[in-house]
Amino acid sequence: MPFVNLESSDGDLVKVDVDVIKCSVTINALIEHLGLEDDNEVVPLQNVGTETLHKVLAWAKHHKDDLPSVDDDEDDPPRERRTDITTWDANFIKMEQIQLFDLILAANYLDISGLLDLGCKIVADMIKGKTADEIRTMFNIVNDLTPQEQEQIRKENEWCEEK
Amino acid sequence: MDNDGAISVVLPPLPAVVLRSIFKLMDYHTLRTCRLVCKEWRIEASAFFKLKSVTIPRHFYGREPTNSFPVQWTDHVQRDKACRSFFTYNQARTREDHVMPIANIQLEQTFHNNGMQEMLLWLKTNGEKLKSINYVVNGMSVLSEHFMFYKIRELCPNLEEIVVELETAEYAPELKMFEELKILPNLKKICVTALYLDRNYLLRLSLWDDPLFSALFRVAPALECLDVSANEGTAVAKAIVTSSSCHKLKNITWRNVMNEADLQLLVNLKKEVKLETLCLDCELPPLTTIPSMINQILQRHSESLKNVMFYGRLVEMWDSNSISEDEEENDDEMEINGHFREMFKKLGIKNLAPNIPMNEREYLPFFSFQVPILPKVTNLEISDIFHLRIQGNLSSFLKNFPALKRLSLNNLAYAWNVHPSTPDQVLQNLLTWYTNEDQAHEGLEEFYLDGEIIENDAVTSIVNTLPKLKKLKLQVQTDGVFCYTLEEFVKKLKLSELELNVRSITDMGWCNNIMTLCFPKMTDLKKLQLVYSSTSGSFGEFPFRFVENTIIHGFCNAPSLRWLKLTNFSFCSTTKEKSIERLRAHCFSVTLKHCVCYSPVFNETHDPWHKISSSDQLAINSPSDVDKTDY
Repeated sequence: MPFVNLESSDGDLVKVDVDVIKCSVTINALIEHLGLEDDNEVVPLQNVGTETLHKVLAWAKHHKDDLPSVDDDEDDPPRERRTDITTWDANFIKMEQIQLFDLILAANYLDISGLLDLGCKIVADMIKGKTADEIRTMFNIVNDLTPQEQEQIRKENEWCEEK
Repeated sequence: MDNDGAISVVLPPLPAVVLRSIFKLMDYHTLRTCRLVCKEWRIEASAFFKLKSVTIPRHFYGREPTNSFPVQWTDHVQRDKACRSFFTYNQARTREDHVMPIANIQLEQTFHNNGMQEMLLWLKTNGEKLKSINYVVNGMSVLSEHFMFYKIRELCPNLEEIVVELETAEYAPELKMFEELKILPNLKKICVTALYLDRNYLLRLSLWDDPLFSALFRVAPALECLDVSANEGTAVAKAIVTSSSCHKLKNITWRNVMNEADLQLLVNLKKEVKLETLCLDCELPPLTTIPSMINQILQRHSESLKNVMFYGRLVEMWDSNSISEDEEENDDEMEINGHFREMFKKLGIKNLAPNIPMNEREYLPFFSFQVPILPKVTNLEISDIFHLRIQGNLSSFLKNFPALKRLSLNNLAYAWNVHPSTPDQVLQNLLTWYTNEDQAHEGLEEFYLDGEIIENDAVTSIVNTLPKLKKLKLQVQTDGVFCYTLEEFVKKLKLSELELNVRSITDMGWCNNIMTLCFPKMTDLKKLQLVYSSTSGSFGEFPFRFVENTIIHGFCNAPSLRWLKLTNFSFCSTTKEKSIERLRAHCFSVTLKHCVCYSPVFNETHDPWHKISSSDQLAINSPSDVDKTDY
């Protein structure tokens, strides 16, 4: 079965080469378990909008020949996680924050680890160097910590403050 | 890219799994800020806001007592455990090979005098939750440390474990400090470790009095686990024997047993004591009485023992005649030897093995080790006891361990000899030990054999004797016949893990046969490790085994193979990338260690190995790449 039809949450159908979308564990499992053999079968993706889906597919198409990640040797100590981003990925990920979040959620829903890692790396970089207030503003988060709890956390945080 | 500023649109909340993926990438300082954002972020970030495992080299503790440093305390996790001081982490992390990011927190407190006030304040609010303490005794002030033990008793009523690390040889802990702990009802484990083992320390400890260790046992009515790793064996053993309140003792790890008097005390353990784990990590001198004493200990706990571990260390020992006062050695090694001699003299050891080269050690007086029946033992490890001799053969030996699941035998080249007299006879006896197959052991699933080369016939015998093996490690000597031996594996065993240390004599043909014919038939094989070593000196020898296309084909046709590690193999530079890509496409993990590339271009000397491309040569010689050439 060379192609699969994906239906976005907006109701749009997108025909995709199975080879391109094989990076998605979720879709792979759907194809395998549902036994989709007919090219006209539709896989509904209720959590992914059309625009985001096209973004995901663009990323998947570019990375379709990537080899799966390799685990570390058990005998060797763990190494630094690879956090370098290719130029293509850097250009690809340049988007509005709302789009970035949608992309991360889609990568999470579709279980595409490479894309999820990329999105998370960008978000982690965005957070770095910000204060808690700035982070709340950036992410539209309401502070539900009591002053006592915040004081407690500050005390707990002291251990990693270099003096 | 609007990634920095505030936004007006409503962002979807990130699910916990995404938050964790983000936090996983952060440093400690950013995590610290994230914990202040909201309750959910606090919970998720806290999972990464801790040290996971830190291995600190011994010399790290060997600093001068005048060094001072801040000590911070915290209980930032909700698991009744505290984290290491940031100082410890901060020091350790500068040594990149000693710090690993991790999961479960290992509580370790480093108590030092200049941090004492802070630590006491911390204990007042958190001590009640504390179950385990790692206490470094640095000997700066006996009085203050005594006071600290008093405070620990008062502030940590639920303490279950205390690890006391003796930091310096110049200081013996105040005996009474341990007694301060005696009212702790839940204390189950006391571990005394020495961090600063130098030659002075060895002598110092041998002079310690017994009451220290008697105190340890008096103070721990619920003691289940004892791990003593200094040279105070006799004192500890006496404390065990004389204690009336340690009948809950289940696990003993006893390092540096030095003489038969020590062992005799273990033989005389109280009747109430039923050991489940016995680990002797020691340098037993080859005295003829010791095997029977070990046998008695095993016999005494035969109904309760589940784990038995004997680790020896090949320490040079001296003939009693050579222990004399007239030798003055100047270099460090000789000085250390001198201290050992002193210690042996103090311990009354006279019948020492002569100091002879390793290759002549088959002439040593061997232990005769007759193992009693141990019906509950599931794990047995014996390592590095060069003068050990086990009677019988593999299958008769295993009859004594009907429940055994895991057997590990390392560096016991002479263990299976009856009356070794010549090297040839040693080999013959070794062969006999393995090839005499009376009865199969149906329970053993893991067999790790290292340090001796096994003949083909012996390998066949192991396969026949252990039909349920799933994990196997062997060091084999290959020739054209070995592939047929390996086929026995395929026919009779359902191995999931195989580690072969392959020593090749005639390196013709065997590799192709093994790789292409055998591995594809091993349908359950998930993990494979091959270490190649060639004999040296003969024509055409090369320290790397060439990986041909047929070999790659063999690996890729092993249906379940997901983890592959090759050591000392070579790839053709023109096909290397393609070969590795094929392996990666098939296996989950591929590791190449000490592997090289060569260019198959003949130079004027017609040496096919001569021309190694400069980039590959660089990779070979770089220390970091040599050990971790992962793809």
